[in-house]
Amino acid sequence: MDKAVQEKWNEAQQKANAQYMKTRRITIDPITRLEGHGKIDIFLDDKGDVSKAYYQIPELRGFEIFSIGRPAEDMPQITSRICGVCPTAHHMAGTKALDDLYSVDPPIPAKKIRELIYNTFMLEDHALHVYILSGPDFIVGPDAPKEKRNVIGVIEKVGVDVGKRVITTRRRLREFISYIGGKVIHPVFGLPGGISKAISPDELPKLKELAKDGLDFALFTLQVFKDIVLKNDNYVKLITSDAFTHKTYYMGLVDEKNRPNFYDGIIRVVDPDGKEFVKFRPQEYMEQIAEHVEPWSYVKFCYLKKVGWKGFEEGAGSGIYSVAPLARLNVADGMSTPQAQKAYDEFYKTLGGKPVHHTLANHWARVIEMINAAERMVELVNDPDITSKNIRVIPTATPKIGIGVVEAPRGTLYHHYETDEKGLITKANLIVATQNNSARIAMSVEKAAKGLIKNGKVSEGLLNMIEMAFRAYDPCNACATHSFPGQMPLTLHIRDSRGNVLEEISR
Amino acid sequence: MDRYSILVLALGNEIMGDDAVGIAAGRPLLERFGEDISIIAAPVAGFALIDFLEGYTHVLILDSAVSGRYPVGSVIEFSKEEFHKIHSGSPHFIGIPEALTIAEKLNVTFPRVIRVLAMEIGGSQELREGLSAVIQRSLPNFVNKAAEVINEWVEEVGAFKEFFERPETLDFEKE
Repeated sequence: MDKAVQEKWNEAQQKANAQYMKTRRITIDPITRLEGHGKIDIFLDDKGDVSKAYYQIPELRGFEIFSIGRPAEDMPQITSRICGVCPTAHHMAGTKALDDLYSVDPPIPAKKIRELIYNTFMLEDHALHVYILSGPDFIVGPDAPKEKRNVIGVIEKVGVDVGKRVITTRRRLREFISYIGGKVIHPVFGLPGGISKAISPDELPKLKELAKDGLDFALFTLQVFKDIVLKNDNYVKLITSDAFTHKTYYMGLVDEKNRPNFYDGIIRVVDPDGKEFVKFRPQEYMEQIAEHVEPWSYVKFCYLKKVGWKGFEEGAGSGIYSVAPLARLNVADGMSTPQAQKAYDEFYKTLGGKPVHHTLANHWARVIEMINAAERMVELVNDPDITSKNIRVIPTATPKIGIGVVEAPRGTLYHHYETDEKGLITKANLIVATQNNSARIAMSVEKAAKGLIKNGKVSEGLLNMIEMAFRAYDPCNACATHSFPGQMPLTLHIRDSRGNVLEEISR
Repeated sequence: MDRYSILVLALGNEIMGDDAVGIAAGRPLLERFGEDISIIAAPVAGFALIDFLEGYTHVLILDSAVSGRYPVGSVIEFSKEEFHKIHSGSPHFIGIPEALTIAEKLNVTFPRVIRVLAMEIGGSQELREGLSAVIQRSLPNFVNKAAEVINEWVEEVGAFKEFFERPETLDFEKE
């Protein structure tokens, strides 16, 4: 080849390569501090700004096939193994589905004991999230070095005594769940028509002390949150920033006075302006919720059928909705317990009224729910029905279809079973909390990425802030496995616009 | 000493296919050593690990591993020193590194010796009962390696026939 031509060719090739490098794909894979294996792909345009971001999580495969042919009465045990952290949520939703399947209404004392256990679980789970998952983001700070952005950093910030209190309180709560349910991880507590074990009056003094200590701890946690987060202007700016704000519909279980009830109620949906959009019984969920499929994700994106799927868009015209703590407060007209009500009022007063659309406010809402759960524990352990022996009605109806719904820590959880006349599963479907949130999570990731990554500048701190966008939802990415190394190593893939890996960065 | 000194903690989820290999290895060990040491099966992760480990001097954890660095069926060993640094794990996946560091920070009585034996499995997240053929074939080797560790420790710390507090076994039922 002529030398001049060769030089021109080389120069052109270098320019072309440089162009490819500008259009980069950044992948956060998998996501830190979440169970399961998720991945975020971020595509940059020519200017180095974000053109698109995709949040992908794996689907737990084989559930329906696994369930078919099994006795429906096994489902609360089986489904409780899907998640090693929120087994009680699946167990309770499964138990309620069995109530519906066998058309049996448990006695009032059984419902109260179920609700007591459930609130104990919510308090324990929320406490873990606040101090371990979101704590590194807020208590330690999103700009702190990564070696400090973990539970050890939290302990160093709040003190060893608080750290011990988290562990001790959590253990005592789990021991109570274990006392009633036999096992914390695989509870054998719920039965169609009631529960398996009553609470002995001899246990009451200990339970009352536990409930009281749980409430003290929840109120203490609110104070920690106020002192460390709300008094820090940078945090408040972050919480209310547009990068972490979406105006969507919200869904949650409420009681007859439209107050959150984690264990039972009617499902209420409010629109982005906070007005009631629909209220429906669990049995009507298929008329209200549909699933949308995208080619780049295993998970199906839930949306409101009557509004329709309009893409990953917010606003009243889009059927995307959110669940979990912020959603539960947004759909409510108030809280069922006094201290939680006080915290709820302060929450909305501070953030400018209802509804609040700031994703990071989920963390604050979670602390308010801790208080509500603890106060309900206090109420229920002091209820005379709580030591009743009237804990079950034996079902007699022929089973066919059963649907049970609870509020898991991460949002509304649906269990749907269909059986033959012998009670063997012919069809089973779950809508887990995170699936309800999956569309909004995808939007949150993209919006945060677009707001934070400019001109191709990507730092570890910025990436952490993008992860904050989905950690606020506390998503559960099929945490059924326990394989070592017991950590979520992070790998970043920088790709060109054609998907070729140009660079790999590991955390 | 008023409680068991040696614990074998078999971790896994029996409806998640090969994830249950730790528990599968624990069963024959219970037959061989169950009279003398604690052997617990537990589908736990996270903070619950601290509950199980506190108070023992020697702990052997049996688990599955998805590292991608070893052939499926390989038995990999991790020691306390090898993973003695905090990682940004999730609260669900809070593992031995985090549990150890937390325990040290909070002055929790923690085992003097922790060893982890893990079998490399595929990364599938599929609901399934039973182990795959390759993992089933590798299981005796896993059990034998665990038995070697236990024998070594029993010789070191002795076996305890007299016990005052037997930990609750979640899935292992001894007749």
